[in-house]
Amino acid sequence: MERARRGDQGAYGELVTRYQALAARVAYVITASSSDAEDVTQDAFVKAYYALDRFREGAPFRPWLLRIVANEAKNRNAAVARRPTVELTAAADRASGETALSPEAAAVASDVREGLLAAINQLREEDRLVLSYRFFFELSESEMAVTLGVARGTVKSRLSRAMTRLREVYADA
Amino acid sequence: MPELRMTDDQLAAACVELGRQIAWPPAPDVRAGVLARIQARPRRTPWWRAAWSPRYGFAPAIVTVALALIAVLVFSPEARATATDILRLRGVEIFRGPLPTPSPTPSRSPGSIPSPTPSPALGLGTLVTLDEARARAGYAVVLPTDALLGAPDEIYLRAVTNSTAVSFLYKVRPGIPLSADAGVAAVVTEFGGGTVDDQFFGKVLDRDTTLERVVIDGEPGFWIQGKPHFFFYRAAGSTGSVEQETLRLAGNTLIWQRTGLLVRLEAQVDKATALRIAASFR
Repeated sequence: MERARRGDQGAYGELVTRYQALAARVAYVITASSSDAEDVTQDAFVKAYYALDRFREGAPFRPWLLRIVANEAKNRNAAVARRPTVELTAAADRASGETALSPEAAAVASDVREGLLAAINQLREEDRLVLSYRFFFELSESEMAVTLGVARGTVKSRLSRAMTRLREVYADA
Repeated sequence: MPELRMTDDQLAAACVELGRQIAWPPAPDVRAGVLARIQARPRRTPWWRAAWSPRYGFAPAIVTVALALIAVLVFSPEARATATDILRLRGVEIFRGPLPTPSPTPSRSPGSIPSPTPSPALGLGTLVTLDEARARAGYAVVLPTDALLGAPDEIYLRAVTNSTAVSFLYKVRPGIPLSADAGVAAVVTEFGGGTVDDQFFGKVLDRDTTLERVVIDGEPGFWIQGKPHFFFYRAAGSTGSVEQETLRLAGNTLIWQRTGLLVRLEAQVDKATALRIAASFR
């Protein structure tokens, strides 16, 4: 990180390799298009590189990067004047070599899983994003505060509100 | 659909599990593209930009003020206390009785050879060096010094509630059978400040899994023998929310507190060996 800050492009390449998969998923949650997500990911890394001076020394890179990714993805949606229909789907199958599903995973694998996914897909972008950050990408509350650009207390309330809406949409389906 | 009959913690746990099952598009590789673009235009350092960035200045403050009001209402101490009590009394009940039937193809077919390469689906986080782990963990990282494990093959970092989890992966070790599911010998995971509580444990075990309280260096721990899949703990911090952790190897597990850390060792070793390894952390 420090080398990248000082302009070492090879070091920055390592950061790209490390975070691009996560960045692309975040972009995908917003743009609902894998090709847009790829473009956004590349643009965001380029933008982040030129913004490294603004990056506070010693701060975690990941949430800062994801904030740029999310902004890029939202800008792209706005540029094409589109309200994307997000369609997250669950993998039907897991490749061998992965760990066995936990009991909840098995329970969630059934109708509740489908219902929850359908409900999450229907949520407003802001709610969907908050839930994705916390549960899909497993960001901590302090990381979410950086990524969303809000205070930690606000993260809690947004998360709580998003979960309430998730319950409502789930029940209405 | 009927209403979700889950507490917030259960819904949260369900969402985490759901997230692990989402069919994401294949990860792109943008490294070459990014490097080509930044090489074409070297970075300059406009001092005024570094000092003043109007773009990010206003919005957070306004949103913070507006939502702080909601935060006060929703997260009053009373509301939180009630939620915790409900979880303690009833939340764990859904896990009583026999375990649900595993979903289709959760594990490898019988007879296949466990791969020595761990799957990213172990969900341990980002691959890092030991130095990076020490720098980013936010607490003093400790490692087992027992010769049976030796130095870890890989180190991972991921965020957990109010802390950072550091995991050490041991791929193949003579004397430790490979985990049938994950194809590795052992996983050690630690994070800061969490505590374990036996009231959370009893409910998450099935008939083939036994739980035993142990003491390591004067601090409490639990030896779980059998096929545990997950456990609950109380997260660090003043709120002390109850969090769920998935056990990666679903085998014998030792979980204990050690000078402010919550540490766990997952490996198919016997209790005496696990305790010996636990005592070797430095």
